[in-house]
Amino acid sequence: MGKYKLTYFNGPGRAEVIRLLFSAAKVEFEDHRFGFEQWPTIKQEMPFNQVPVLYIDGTPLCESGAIFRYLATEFGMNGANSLQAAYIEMVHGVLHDVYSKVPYMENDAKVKKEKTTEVHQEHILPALKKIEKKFSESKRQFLVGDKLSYADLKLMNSLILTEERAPEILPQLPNLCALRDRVRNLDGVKQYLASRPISKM
Amino acid sequence: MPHYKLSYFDIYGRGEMVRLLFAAAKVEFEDERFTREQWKETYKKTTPFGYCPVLYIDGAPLCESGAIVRLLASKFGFNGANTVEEAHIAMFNGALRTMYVRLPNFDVDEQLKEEKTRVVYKDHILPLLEKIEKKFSDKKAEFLVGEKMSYADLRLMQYLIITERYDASLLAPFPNLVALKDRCRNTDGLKQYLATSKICPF
Repeated sequence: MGKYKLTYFNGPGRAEVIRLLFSAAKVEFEDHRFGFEQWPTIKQEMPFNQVPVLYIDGTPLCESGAIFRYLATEFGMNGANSLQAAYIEMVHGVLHDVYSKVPYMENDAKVKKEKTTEVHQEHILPALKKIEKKFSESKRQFLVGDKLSYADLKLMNSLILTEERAPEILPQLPNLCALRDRVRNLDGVKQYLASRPISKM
Repeated sequence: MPHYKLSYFDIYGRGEMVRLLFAAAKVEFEDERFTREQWKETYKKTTPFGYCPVLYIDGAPLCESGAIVRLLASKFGFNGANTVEEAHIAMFNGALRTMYVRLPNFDVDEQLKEEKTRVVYKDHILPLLEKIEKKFSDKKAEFLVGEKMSYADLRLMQYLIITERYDASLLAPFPNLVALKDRCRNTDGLKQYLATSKICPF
């Protein structure tokens, strides 16, 4: 095995920020993806019966937050000091909280569409407007500090989802959309986005 | 030292870890607690994103409990000696939270709540504690990660105290974790805080 192996379902879920970190850092990793039918077997092999798991030289680490914060620090994408790291975690956490309300697993297409629009109006847009305001006032290139962080990767990925499912909110977020586009065109990220499997969720 | 104010509900919830960190570090802070009604009417609109807890550091707000916990843990020396230890501390903390958060704290029907609680312990919490007990006893160390107490130990202590209050017999298979819990609760700072702090159901 190479230095890094990530094990997760064949979907974005709690692994996507991890995959984006590797891409942005241009660090190789084995992107092990499995289907739902394999989960009962794989679950028993995982240290705490959950995924994602990152194997670092064969030693397993679980809990997605632990994984992506570790990699972000290793790759220089976790701010310049502990206060910046805290703000990065805050922005990531807010984005995670509001986007996790989207009914990814809903099977009824009509219900899914209605609920997704509602979640965008009631939860996602209010949070993004607050971030947009602070970000435009800061006149910075990235959400926190002077460098790309995993909060920017999370934002980019979230807005790509919104492009597909609720694009009507995006005109209210011009600076965040510009940031999204800056990040999606970064070398490494660009190639990953072009080649990643399309998620059905 | 900056002025710290924690603003949260009058429960453990997502705020108690922050309080425990201040206690363990013996750092003073303003422990602002409000009711649900006060949250809706007054406090919610003053927060950065409409969520709590919020930590005000010299008046500057920081929200998201994980961000707050990790910042204070780093500042106060409860976040390991290097990034690998930080990751393992976050792993134990996260794994424990994932299981304990399943407890039906808000259920109104007492019988249903008791049944669900038993199931959560049996299917989720106890299997996890068994795995952690094994890893910890293999390690033969004082604390879960590295050589010093970390917020993972505080999290374990917090949750095992909750379990102890509910049904101490559930902890019988985990003597090393029980010993760790007791080691932490008797450290200077935590001992005093736990002796006087409000006991909450969750």
